[in-house]
Amino acid sequence: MSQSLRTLVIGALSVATVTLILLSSHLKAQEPQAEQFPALHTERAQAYVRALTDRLPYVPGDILVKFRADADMAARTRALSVMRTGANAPEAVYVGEALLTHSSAEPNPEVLATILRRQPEVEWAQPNYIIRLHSEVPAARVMQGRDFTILGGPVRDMQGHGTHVAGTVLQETNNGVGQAGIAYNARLLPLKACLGFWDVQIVLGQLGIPGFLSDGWCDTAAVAGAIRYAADSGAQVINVSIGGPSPSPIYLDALRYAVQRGTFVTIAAGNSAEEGNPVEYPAAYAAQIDGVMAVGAVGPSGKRALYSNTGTHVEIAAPGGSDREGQLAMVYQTAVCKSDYDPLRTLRPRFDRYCNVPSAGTSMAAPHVAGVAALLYSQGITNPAAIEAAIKRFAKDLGAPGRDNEYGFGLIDARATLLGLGVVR
Amino acid sequence: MNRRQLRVVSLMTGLLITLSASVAFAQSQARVRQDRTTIWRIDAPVVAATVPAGTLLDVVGQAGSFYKVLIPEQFGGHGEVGRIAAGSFVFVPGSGDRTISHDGTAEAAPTAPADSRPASHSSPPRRHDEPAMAVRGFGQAGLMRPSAQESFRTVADQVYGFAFGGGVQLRVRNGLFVEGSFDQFRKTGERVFVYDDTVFPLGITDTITVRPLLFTAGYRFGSTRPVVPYVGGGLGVFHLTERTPFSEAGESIDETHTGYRMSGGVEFRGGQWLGTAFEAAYTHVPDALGNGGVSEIVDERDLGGFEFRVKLLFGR
Repeated sequence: MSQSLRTLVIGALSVATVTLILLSSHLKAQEPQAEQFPALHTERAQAYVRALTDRLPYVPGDILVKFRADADMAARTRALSVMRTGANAPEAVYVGEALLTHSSAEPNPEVLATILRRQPEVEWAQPNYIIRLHSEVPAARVMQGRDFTILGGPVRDMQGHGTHVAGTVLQETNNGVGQAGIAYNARLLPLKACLGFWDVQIVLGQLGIPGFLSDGWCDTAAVAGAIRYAADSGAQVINVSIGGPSPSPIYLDALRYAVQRGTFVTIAAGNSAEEGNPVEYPAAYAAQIDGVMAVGAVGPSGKRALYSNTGTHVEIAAPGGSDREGQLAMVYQTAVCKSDYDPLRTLRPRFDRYCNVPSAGTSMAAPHVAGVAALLYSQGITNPAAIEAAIKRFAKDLGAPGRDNEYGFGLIDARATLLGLGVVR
Repeated sequence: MNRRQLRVVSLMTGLLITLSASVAFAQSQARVRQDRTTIWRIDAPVVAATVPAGTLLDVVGQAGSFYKVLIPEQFGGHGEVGRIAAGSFVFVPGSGDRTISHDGTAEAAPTAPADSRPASHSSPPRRHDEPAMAVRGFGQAGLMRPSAQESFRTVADQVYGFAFGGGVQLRVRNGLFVEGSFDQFRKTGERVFVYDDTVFPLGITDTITVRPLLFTAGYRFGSTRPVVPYVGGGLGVFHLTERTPFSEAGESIDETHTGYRMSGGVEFRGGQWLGTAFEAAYTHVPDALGNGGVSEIVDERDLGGFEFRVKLLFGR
């Protein structure tokens, strides 16, 4: 279709891995980079490990707090004095207008949040919640990027999920190799907001903790920070294939901030429909913002994938694969060979070989919408709200007539959307 | 309008203006100088009418030393053309004649053919009456402004466009006529997306074509005059297409709608075989638009519009 697409910058948040990539158009093997990870902040790293070992829903000791606009520095300091941070606590940092700080004395951030909310200077306070990973697939090309996790080092996808997602958006196409990307001339700015299995082992290794922890996570502050960073970097489309059960105003602020900067955002609706169908965040905020869309998944049959969350926030459906419809019903993308890093198969992982990797999830559906959004952007629709309106208008209505909680406004129709309107049709 | 279209239109306009001037020359008026002046039938050495001095005649042509004139109705004429000797009348000043060489009088000519035949007529005599019906063909070019102005402006930037076509007209003596015509109106623009009154052009060419096939009946006021006003009305089918360079099945529009037309204009006769008409027309094609596309957004449903056109007519 569009062979002369203008170059796009797409910010992508990786669910699983280290993927800060500036992808021009090729997905090919890269030699591992030689950068060394910086030393971890011990207290925060220990807090993350504890969150994993104790399966906590938050990072112990971490608290996100937003002050009222009229609270000056003295008032803010007074408000924070109720929590003892300790001499070795990591430095507090701002994520948008919220402050991410840490208390050594009180590891339960729920208690801290309750105390802080009582302070007149505080607008809201909450723990730094953890989003546990529920999908992992290797990915493709890795380039320099930015890491918002505690690793803070060179960006690598050691989980596969982020690069799989990126491939759907912009993998090189029409070259007879691998699969296809949608906006295959777009550029990618992947931002790492999550830690996968091997990331966690690095953390353990740096802390000198023996053994393995078989989990990974994304924390609220990292996700929100990455969204803001992408918007500030000029990203025109952000894909967030991340979700968790904890609401947070910091998501809402970050999403609004991104749209105000002219960035369109897609968010996976969640894969827990068969596990109680909990509302997931930040997807649940999508319906509140024109220019942000929560994406559900359908299988090749065109029916909602059984795992795909439903709810009033679902605005659009896209192909996400469905293992219930067979192995070929998955979404295939060129990604890091899973056998190279699967902890059940190897203790010496590598991340520089690529295979066609099947995966399914709303994480796979969201980048389909992001890719179409990127093409719309290249056609000249630069208003995020207009992009959302276009995608909704031309969607194929599925399920109950009109908008419904399973498919939103229907299945995205890339061709019709890009074709737009003539006088008659 | 691109340069090529502009050149075509300029050329046609020039041609039509030239023809109109020619028509004006041939339709000069003259006044008879003497009583009992004879107007001869054009096809035989037979007296068609005898007219008194002062009679006003429409001069429609020249044949040797004779001039062709319309036989006045009050002297038995029904649109027939006769011939009159050049010296028996004077042209009416300002009536359009360009051929008079001195003092408004035509060159000297015999008062009657010596052998009772028109001098320039050597073929065997034959009867030549104004037919009860006459068929004419015509070509036409026009400037159209669609009623769906917002739709066309959004997609094509411009509202106005040119239409070209032709047709056949059947004319009868009592001033009535019927005609069938076909033309084509085409606009090319760019597909768009509209959001909150903001138009986003998408870089995909969009071509919309309307081809009306119309049947019109009308009335000509004074069909024997050189300048004939007329009005008409009719109906027809409008073939509508909308295409992009890579349309697939179901993406293109290919529809036919029924519509109506009212028209009125003025025809300038240039002798028996040539005429030029300037015509204004309004067409109404209800519910052809508004079921999709930009026309649905701006709620425009009429495919018709106003058109000003020039016709070049051939035949009696």
